[in-house]
Amino acid sequence: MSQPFDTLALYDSLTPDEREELDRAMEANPALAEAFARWTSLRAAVRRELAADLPDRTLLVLYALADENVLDADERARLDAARDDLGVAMDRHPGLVDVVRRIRADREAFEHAWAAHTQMNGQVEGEAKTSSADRPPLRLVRPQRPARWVWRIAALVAIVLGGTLLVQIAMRDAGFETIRASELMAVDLPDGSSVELAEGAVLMIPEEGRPVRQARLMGGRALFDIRRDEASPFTVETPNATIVVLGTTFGVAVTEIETEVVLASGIVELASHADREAAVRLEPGERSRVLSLDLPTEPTPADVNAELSWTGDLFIRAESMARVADRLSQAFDTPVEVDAALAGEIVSGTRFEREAGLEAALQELAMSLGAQVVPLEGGGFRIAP
Amino acid sequence: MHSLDPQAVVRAQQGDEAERGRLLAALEPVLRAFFKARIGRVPDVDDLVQNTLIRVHRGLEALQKPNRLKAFAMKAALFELQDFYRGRYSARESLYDPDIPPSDPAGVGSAGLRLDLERAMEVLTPHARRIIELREMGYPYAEIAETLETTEAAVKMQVKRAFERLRNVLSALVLAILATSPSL
Repeated sequence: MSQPFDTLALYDSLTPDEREELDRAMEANPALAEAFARWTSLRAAVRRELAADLPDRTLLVLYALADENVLDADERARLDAARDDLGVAMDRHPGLVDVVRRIRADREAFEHAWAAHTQMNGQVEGEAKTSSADRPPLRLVRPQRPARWVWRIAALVAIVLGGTLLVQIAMRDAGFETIRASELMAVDLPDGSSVELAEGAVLMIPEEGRPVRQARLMGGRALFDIRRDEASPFTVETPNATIVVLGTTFGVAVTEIETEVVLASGIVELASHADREAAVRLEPGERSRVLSLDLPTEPTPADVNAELSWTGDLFIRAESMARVADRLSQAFDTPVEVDAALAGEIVSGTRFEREAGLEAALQELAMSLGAQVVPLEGGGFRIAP
Repeated sequence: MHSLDPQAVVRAQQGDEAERGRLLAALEPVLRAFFKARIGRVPDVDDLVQNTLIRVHRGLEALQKPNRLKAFAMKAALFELQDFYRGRYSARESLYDPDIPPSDPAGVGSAGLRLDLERAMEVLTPHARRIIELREMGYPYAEIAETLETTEAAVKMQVKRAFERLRNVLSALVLAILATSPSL
């Protein structure tokens, strides 16, 4: 009996012969027919909900293409008018988010078909711009950040991005260079800011000579460390959100349909593309996210170190020297002691680059406290006045 | 092969029927390659190409920027593809319409046990719900698997499990009804 029940669940993908066989089985077995009726009722209910929440499927196509500068004014107006309802529908039906992803893959397939055709016929591709990703980046791109570590008392903001990438979108944006991280790498920006990219991240930065304080993170995870300029706030655009940097340093994270921000320190504002005016402001140690076209969630406490563990670094936010020493001790599996006179000193807004090693971190800590690092017999260190 | 350049679009928009024909002929292989890559089934691809070309033909005058033909054709193709999944091609569509059960061989519809749909929906895990929603949006299991970056077998297994959970919930409901309804 289990075999017909198993097959019933997939009735809609059976061959006509298989269906006929099942129909006969249902005629002979009321329990089987009962189960099938319930199942089809459930499926019908899902379908009705989808139809009620999304009466016009073309909106999904417009939404999927919204960030690619291919919509005309009427289409954009249609999409804008439907954004609220569309956001509700996508929240209620996770499958719609997958459909959007599928449509974006369809678009990429169309691009490939178009490019193959035009290249085969020796034509210049219609509206495609020269892929900036194929040219060497104009900025200094370090394959790995240097082994030296840097104390950064300045505020740190981190936004963690995960998921698949919108590479094709990035490649077609004029005025921006596209950088794809094949490994953990750092990118230096002209104003002294820098971005650390996790493997797989795709970042767009302004082409050389464009005085634009903006970057676009199309996918993956990145940690931004931005030089403070109150007269010219830095913005990070993601496929569905905008992050405005109000402090000095920040990091960003996004998937193709979700942007999550985890702030180590400093201040940022996060807004959905659906309503750029309705931004939330994050304080250090908080997180917020924008799912599809929703407004940003209210900031909630975040485990900054867990969120940014991919960097390999330690982030310290307003913690006692005793606690910092304890964390460093655990991170490096080495005893670290702190003199009682220093144990209560507060360390804040700090990032330890793990590659630099424990002793270097302790030396820097000691320097900031006017203390010294003393090696312990048997291994380990002590920070003493 | 005819060029898909903006001048050709302008001439077609201005009433040059020969130019319009060449333009559509030039689009045909692009669309065919696209739909073949996404759908693969030749009869469906034929229909999709033809209907997309009709969309382009009918909408060409409304294309305000002749240099945006690619975007215009792409949107037409994507709209058409959604229509395909929605079931507009039902003559060829093998998907079963769950709104119309093929039969009620045991007469269960009159058995008096009505499905508590809300309760039933709760038995779906978020993952199973995604799969069923995609299925109800018209996507074949193979494409659902591709979208979710898993295998078709894994997708079907999720559906079977959801079905099994639904059966278990229903069994519990029936027992509860029997226990509280002495007349049954």
